[in-house]
Amino acid sequence: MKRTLQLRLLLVVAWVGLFVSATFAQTGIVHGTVSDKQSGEKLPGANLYVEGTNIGTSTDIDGKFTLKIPAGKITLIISYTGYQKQQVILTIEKDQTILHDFILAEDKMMLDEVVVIGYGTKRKRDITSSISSVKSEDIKEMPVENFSKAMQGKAPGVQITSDNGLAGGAVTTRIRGTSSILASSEPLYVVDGVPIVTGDFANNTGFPDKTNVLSQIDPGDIASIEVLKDAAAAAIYGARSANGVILITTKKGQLSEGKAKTNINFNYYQGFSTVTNKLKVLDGPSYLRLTKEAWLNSSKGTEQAYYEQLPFGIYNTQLVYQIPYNEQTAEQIQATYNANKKVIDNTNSNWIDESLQVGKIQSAALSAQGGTSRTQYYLGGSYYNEKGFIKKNDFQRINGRVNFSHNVSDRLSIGANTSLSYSINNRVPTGWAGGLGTAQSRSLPIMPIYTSSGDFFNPIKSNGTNTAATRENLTSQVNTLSLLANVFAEFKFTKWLNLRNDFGLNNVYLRDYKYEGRVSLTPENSNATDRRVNVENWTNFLTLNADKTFNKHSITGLLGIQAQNSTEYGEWINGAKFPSPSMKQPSDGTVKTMDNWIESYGFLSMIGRAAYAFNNKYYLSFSLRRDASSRFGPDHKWGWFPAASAGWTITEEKFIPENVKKILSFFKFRGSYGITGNAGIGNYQYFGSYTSTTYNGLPGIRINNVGNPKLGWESTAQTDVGCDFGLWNGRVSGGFDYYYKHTTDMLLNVNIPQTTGSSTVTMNVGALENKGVELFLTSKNFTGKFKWTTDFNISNNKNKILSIEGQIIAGENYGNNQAQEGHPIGAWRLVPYAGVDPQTGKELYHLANGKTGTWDDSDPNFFQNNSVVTGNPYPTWFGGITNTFSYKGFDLAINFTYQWGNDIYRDDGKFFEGGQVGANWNQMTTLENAWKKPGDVTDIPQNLWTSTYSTHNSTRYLDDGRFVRLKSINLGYTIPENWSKAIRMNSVRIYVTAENWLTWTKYKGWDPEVNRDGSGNITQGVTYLSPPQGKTITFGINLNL
Amino acid sequence: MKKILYIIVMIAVSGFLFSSCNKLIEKDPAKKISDQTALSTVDGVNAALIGTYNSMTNGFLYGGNIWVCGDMLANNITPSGDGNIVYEETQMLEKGMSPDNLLTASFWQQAYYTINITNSVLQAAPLVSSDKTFNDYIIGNCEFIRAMVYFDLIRYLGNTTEGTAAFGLGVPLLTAPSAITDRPARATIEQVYTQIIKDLVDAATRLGETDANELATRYAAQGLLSRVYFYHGDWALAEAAATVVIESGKFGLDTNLMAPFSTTAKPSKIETVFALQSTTDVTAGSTLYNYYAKANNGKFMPSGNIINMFVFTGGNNDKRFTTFFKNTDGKYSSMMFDDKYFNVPLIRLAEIYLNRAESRYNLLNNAGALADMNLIRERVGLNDTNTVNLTLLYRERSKELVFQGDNFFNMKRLKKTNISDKHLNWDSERLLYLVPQREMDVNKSLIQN
Repeated sequence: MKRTLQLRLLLVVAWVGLFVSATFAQTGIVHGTVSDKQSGEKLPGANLYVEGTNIGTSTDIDGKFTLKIPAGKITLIISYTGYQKQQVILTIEKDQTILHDFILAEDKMMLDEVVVIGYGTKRKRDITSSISSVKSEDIKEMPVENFSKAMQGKAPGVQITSDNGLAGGAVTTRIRGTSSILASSEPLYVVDGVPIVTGDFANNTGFPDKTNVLSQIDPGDIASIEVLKDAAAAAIYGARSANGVILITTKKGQLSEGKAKTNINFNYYQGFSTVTNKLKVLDGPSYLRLTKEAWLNSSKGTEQAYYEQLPFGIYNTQLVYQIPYNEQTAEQIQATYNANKKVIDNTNSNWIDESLQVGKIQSAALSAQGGTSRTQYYLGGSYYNEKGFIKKNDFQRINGRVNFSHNVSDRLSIGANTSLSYSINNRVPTGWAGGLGTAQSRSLPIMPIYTSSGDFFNPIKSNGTNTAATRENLTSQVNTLSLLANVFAEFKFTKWLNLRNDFGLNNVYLRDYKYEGRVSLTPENSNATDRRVNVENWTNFLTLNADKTFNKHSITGLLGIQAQNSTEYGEWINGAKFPSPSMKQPSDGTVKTMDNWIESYGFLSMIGRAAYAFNNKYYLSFSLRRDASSRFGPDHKWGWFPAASAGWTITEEKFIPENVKKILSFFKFRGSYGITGNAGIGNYQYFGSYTSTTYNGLPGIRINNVGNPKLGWESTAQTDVGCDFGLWNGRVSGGFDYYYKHTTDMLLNVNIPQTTGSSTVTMNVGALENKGVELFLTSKNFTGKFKWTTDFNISNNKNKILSIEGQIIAGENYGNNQAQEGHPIGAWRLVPYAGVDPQTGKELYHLANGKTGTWDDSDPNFFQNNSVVTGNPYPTWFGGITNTFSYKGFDLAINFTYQWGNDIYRDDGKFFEGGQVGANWNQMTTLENAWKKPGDVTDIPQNLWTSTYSTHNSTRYLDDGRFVRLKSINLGYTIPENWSKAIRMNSVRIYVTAENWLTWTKYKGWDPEVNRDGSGNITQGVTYLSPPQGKTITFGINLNL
Repeated sequence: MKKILYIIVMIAVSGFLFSSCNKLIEKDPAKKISDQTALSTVDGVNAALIGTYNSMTNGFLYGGNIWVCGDMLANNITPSGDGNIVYEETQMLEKGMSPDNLLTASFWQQAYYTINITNSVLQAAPLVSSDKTFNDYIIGNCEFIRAMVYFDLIRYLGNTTEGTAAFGLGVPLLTAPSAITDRPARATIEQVYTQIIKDLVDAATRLGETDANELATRYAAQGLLSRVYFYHGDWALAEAAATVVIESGKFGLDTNLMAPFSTTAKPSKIETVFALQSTTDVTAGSTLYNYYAKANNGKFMPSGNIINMFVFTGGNNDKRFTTFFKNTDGKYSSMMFDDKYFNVPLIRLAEIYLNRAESRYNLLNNAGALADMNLIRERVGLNDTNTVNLTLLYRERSKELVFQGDNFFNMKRLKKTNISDKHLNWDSERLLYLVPQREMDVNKSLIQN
């Protein structure tokens, strides 16, 4: 007891001591203004601080500042985003007041801007690796729930595909190509130093499209996103860096002493969304006319027989007489037919329109940012609500963040960055699973939506094709609560050496509920599933950082150790056969099934880095990481991941004449090489095992997989050569990179004879390569009162599989993509299409024997023998261009994205256009152009009746996937300062943002930006009734208090 | 002083988190056990036997496709228009199976998966226990299962087409666990028959004499043996094996025809000698339910030739017709598998009577054949007949085992020349499953059909 008291006293004394030391030190005052060199305008919000201390402030709205500083000789540093940093040495006596005005010159190349790198920061000037930065200004006001969607086309080498336009839908991201076949090709995401949980945890049965917990992060909280692309940048993340690393830094507190005070910001926008394009399918009368034509062309029978065979109860055999059809007399049958024909001929349902609606987007965010020289904070709260353009699809998120840091003393600082985020995502089936997928295909336009009495037409008998009824029948909701937090303490031994410990948590709690009721299912089949997933993920890392500059030499060093553990607990319960339609919880079902799982993985790492710079001219850097993971087999536990880079800023050399420097103001060569790893190989893959099973209620076990104790990471060696440059003092600046990535030890399921009881052994044996170039340019075309800036980037990537043991690996989903040696991953195996024979109206193909001919359905090897490997699902060229204009209060940003070199396979094309009008699919309107008589030249074969599904996978459905898209237009107006002051605001801005409004493409489906079923590495560039993208327009206001 | 305290606290907190490093990088799965130790105990061997039965319930094996594929090949069933027919099924209906046909490839995979567990269990059982009762139980069950799977493998893959490279070839015959480096060649059909018969004869001596039909019994082994001898043309042996089952007194013909295919009629399981059990966890019958049940928009309905056989030979009052067939607006559907949770009756007493009837006929015991056949006829409300010939026996068998995949093999056995709507000869290559392409690619010792 006594001891505790003593301890407390000690603590109190310690705290008081700290305060005393801060309050009673001898001080003087410096005050003045900060202004722009060119225009003379005062700069509000510029930061000033005394070097080596936490003493500092920022300028107020008039650009004025007042700062109490310790007496003696100090170095004052003044910085302002977009301006060159300035240092002034001042000598001040106790109680003295000095007036000092600062004039800052614009830094067009922002070479002193700090860029976040793995486990640290670096000036842009000193970077010798390949890193792309995206700032909060680049993604603000974009009406998206996931920051990745706002990054599209803005970072060279980074290809981002929004899988579809669903609210809460996932995104596919590739940095410098796809470097794996079976393992993950998604980058590692690190938020404020913590590797976070990503991916889809809401995979309740029956939904092809994916979600991603990345949507839990509020894009408004992000200060900057850094993409680590080459080995020198990424290899510090060792076994998880081969696909690149995306570092997200959230907004932090800032000094707000003086009049500027706390920076309070309120942002609100609201708008609408709709589909970018609509698939053109037949309406009721055209469907009847053309399918009847096919029926008669194929001599299937009379017109009456045509009507009688219509599916889903469209032809009602008891429409007139309530007796079975086969008991009706000839007269009765005739009357039934006449009545049916009348009804069917007058039905015209537009199922696509019935499934769609005008979507709404709404977002409100409030943040406060401020602090003193000792304590700084950022507080943010936001609400995002998107009602999708597909009925019953929506996404809502509420998010709160507290970022805080405090200097306990001159040596010790502590802090935390925490956010809680909760989302509700109402999901809808798409693609093959129903909903809009069925509405565009098997929901026939001659089938009514409602009966004359207003009930759903044949909800059960229609086999799911009454999509209005199935939508009514289905509820699917995913509720996700996620916590993302880290706390840290940093201790400075000296000015140049510190020790820092970070502890991070990223937990996700998810409930995924689905109910399919009796509206369109029999009571027997009505069912509900409740699925829960908890992901508990922590990491801790301790780093020792050195940063010492003496004379012209600068040395930085890093030593660290890191541990991470992640465990997923999951379970689901399904109940079927409910006693009542109003009972919807699985436990009320008569037949119940359940499952649970636990998966865990851990990483243990040692980190080291040393960098040397001489006189801002020569640079050398070396990093090394040693990683071990529970995912690797006992014989292959630990791996080394080294990387080295070098840079040479040639424009710092004296031998470059001054007149050259006037044009070429900055030029840096850089090169790097390193080994990165990919541990996205799944858990327990090395472990040969039996799993539990059951038969007749008895406990059993069965062989699960063959083990491989040697199993480890995939390894990618990457070479990068590049340069950064600035012309005319930064009027034009940019960078160029060439890279070559060689992936070996690629994870492969090597086939073994199934007579062993197993099919494959997982081994590290394959190899592939990615190579490409990247270029980005920023040009400040006008810099006066009227400003015009152009940002342009273009990237190229070529992928080739070098060796996969001669195997041909099929895609994760249908669509005939495959991985095969000598071809890009995901190339298709298809029979080359040779058009329609003008004489017979049949589809012709280029056959292996050099001739053209029809598809021989009786030959089971026809496809095998005549198909070729063709196409590429990944674009070889992609990028974006943004033009930003501003004049007085107005600003306008226009952003285009583009890609070419890729193809898209319409896997549904063979059903939409393959001449299968009898298979109960609606057809595309192109059927109107079908071949009719000898001599007709057309690309659509004769309209014939075939009721079996086509297997004719040919290049006929392989479309050129290139497109240019007007990705976004953002127009804003900031009201004049004196107006905003009149209403006591710092600034008031109103804006309008339009997204995805124009797309130029040759693709024949909904939208060329697509990833079927959020698929993995091989099945890319394929659509199968996939949902389209949306276009939006939003109106917003931003208030700065 | 304070400095040191800060550092100590930081390092201590950090150190605490690093203290359990080995746990981070060495993790065993929570839901799997190592294949090194799984079969090293009596419990493990027992559990693995149950696992073998579980793998038999797989839809590609006895959970459905063993029956459905035979009926597709024979064109005894036809697309109903309600469900989507996938191309693997189209290939079967068209008698043009490619070597990568999912149904045939998965059958091969699941068959050898099952055989491999039986081989592992057979090897492990004597090592974990010397108890005779235990060993008889384990070995008898495994031999029974292995024989059954090999029999269906050679029925679908055994090549009888004279003049082809694979003529007379059965399937790779493995009776011990296979190493991943093994590349076994196909044994002959006769070699496989020899092993099947050896397994069943041995199993029949080891297994118990109960009427429990959820696991193998002495009668299940004898019943299967009667089928194997019957298909092999060993009439006397087939008759003898059938007689063991019939005269055991443990089984009878159920007047409720639906009983063997229904859960609700479970008390009356007298007719079923061996059935794969359905529970809510493992629904052995769900594949058949999905293929046929009208309520589930079943893909298949009986084809005209089967309906005509009932309508024109025997008449509409055959109880099998009125029980299993339903006419909705002129379209027939099968009601046999409307109960999703039924136990799949792989060996029924009715079949054993018919095995014996035709064996007796071939042994020139017409009276015995008639007696057996008339028992089957009486049960379904048909009049006794006093003539017996192969056509009548064939018809009776086709009707009794309708939707159970038997008709296809029976036509091949009888060397019919008009099989399916493609009118193929019994030994046509187009009726054979091909060895899966991935097996051909990885095992160069194999010869394709």
